[in-house]
Amino acid sequence: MTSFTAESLSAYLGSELGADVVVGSLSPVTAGARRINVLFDATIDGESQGFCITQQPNTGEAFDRPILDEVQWLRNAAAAGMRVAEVVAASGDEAVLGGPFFVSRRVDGATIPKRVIKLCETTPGLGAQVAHEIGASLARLHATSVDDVPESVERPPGTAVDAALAWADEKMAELLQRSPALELVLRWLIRNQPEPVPVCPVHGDVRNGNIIVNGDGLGAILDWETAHIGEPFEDLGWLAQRMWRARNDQLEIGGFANRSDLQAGYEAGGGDWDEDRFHWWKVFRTLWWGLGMANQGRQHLDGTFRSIIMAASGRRVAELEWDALCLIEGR
Amino acid sequence: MSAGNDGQHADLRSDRPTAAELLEIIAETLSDSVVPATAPHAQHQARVAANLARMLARELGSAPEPMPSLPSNLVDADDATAAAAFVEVQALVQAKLAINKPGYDTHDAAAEAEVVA
Repeated sequence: MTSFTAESLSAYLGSELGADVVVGSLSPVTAGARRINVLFDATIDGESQGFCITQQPNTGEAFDRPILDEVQWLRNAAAAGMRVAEVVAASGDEAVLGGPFFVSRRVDGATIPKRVIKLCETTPGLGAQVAHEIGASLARLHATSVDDVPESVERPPGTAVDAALAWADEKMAELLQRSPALELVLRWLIRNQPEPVPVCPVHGDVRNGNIIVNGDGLGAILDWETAHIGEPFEDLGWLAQRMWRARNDQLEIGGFANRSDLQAGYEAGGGDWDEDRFHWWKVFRTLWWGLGMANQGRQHLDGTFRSIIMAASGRRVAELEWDALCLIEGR
Repeated sequence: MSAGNDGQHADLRSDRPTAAELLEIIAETLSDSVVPATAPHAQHQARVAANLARMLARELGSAPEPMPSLPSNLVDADDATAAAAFVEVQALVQAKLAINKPGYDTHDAAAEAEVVA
């Protein structure tokens, strides 16, 4: 089903790495909606090593980020000391393997949220350690310069809070039917805005589901498709959403750790912690996802993207409405 | 589910199984027969279809709550209006969850506050 074979990949990697490369069998994995990920072993000058090739399908979707931008994010992140997969080769040329791609070193471990939680439950101290490592990794990313962010990434004119509220306003107006719950949430957000802080590079989608966890701790932070310029607590508040806990609701961070673990790591990595900002962005990101779910339902109904998954998303809005109301109740 | 003749309350305009009963067997068929025999991509869709059939069975079996009358746009509401609406809006969301995701609201504001503390 892929646009390349073990043979064409062997030839490419051989010339790229200047070595004798034999690629073994290809194992496609399902991860990322707009990316094809295929795991493979390659024997390089006689030594077997594990890799992953991430390819952008040629769907012609204009909104899709160029894959070489993702490579730049990954390399910047690695240089900043974050745990990410090491990129060994990349090409934006469709002629090479039938679509832009990059090849990274494979990182072993669990990615499915329930498995991550199970592993943390059966390994004393692992959950706290992983949250600490995510915190430290994010602090390092947030300390990097917006000047190093790929040029195609939008530079918001004002603060991240302004941009967030303007976005919410726009999406609320697009709803097929009003959501009184999300109206109350937006009202709260407008009235409780934190003080503006400078924008910085953010990952945008760090959560249980986009991390690799193994017995040694955090293996890598995956999926840089939505990395952008924003503000630190956008990343941190997203990690605390109830939906990433896989029903293990008593542990705020991904169902495997407490907020204090994340905070300790963030501070150890050089970041400044602020409870009010954390809470504001946690509320905003709940609203954001609620509006996102409503939008998926709308895309199904208007024919933009007809699918039973998108239709079902429309019926999930109530979950996010509930979560958001819980977060603003009595505040 | 209930066998036997309940003469008085039967809706003689339609046969058994009822719509809700049919949705239940559609869900069971999808979950028990279709999902195990399907490729991963379609399997996820079949699982979602089964969930939606169960959701519809619940919706058919529940009496709709009366629509609360709410101010036209709560974003700009004053404090008193927003506070008064909050309880009604919360009940509205809970009524949707009873259909869409029963039990989701057992984790409430107090429970979340405890998790965060």
